[in-house]
Amino acid sequence: MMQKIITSRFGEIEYNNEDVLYFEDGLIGFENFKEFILITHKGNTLFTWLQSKDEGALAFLLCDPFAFYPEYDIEIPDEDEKKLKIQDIKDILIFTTTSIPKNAPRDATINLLAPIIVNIKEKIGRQVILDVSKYNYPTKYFILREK
Amino acid sequence: MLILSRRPKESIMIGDNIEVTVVEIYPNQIKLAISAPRNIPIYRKEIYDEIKKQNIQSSDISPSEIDNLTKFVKK
Repeated sequence: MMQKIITSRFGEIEYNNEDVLYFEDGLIGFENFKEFILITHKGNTLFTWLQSKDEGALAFLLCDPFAFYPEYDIEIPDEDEKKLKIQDIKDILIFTTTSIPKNAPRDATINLLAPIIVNIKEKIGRQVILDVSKYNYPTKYFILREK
Repeated sequence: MLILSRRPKESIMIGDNIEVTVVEIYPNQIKLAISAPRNIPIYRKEIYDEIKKQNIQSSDISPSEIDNLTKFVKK
């Protein structure tokens, strides 16, 4: 059965209950927002929106980190792996939050230290903070700078 | 907010399953040992704050700003 929400970015959107992802711990700083829908950005499928189901104005811009940092290599901490109920690596989607400074789009950054990981089969998501001692990934990796 | 002092080797209990122990004190630093259930995450505060800040920034973007950005994306 189709449900509807009014969002500030996309107007009224329809979704099925099976589209809803459950984030048990929300996102860091947004722990009370637990239900989201993924919306691929029209015009550039490297970007995806994590739209809150309950708050139409809240949506996080995500992107595919591998498109900008092909060497991205992570190990999901045990507790997160358990909570994500990972059984098959094919069920896993990895995103990173994306920041675009208002007057300096060339300074867009992604957070490689705390990726958003989704188990698309179980409809579960988490923001995973990688082990800082193992991975010195930045929270602001400039995706458009020359390497 | 509770403020208290501890000497090396002394501990604090938070609830009945989190224990913070002062391991050693240096001139400019203190080493703590934290024992907590595995399902309770523990972060250095500045890392938590920085991630929260990036989350807030990524929630403050409109779709048109990506179209703007796409001009710069080479692929």
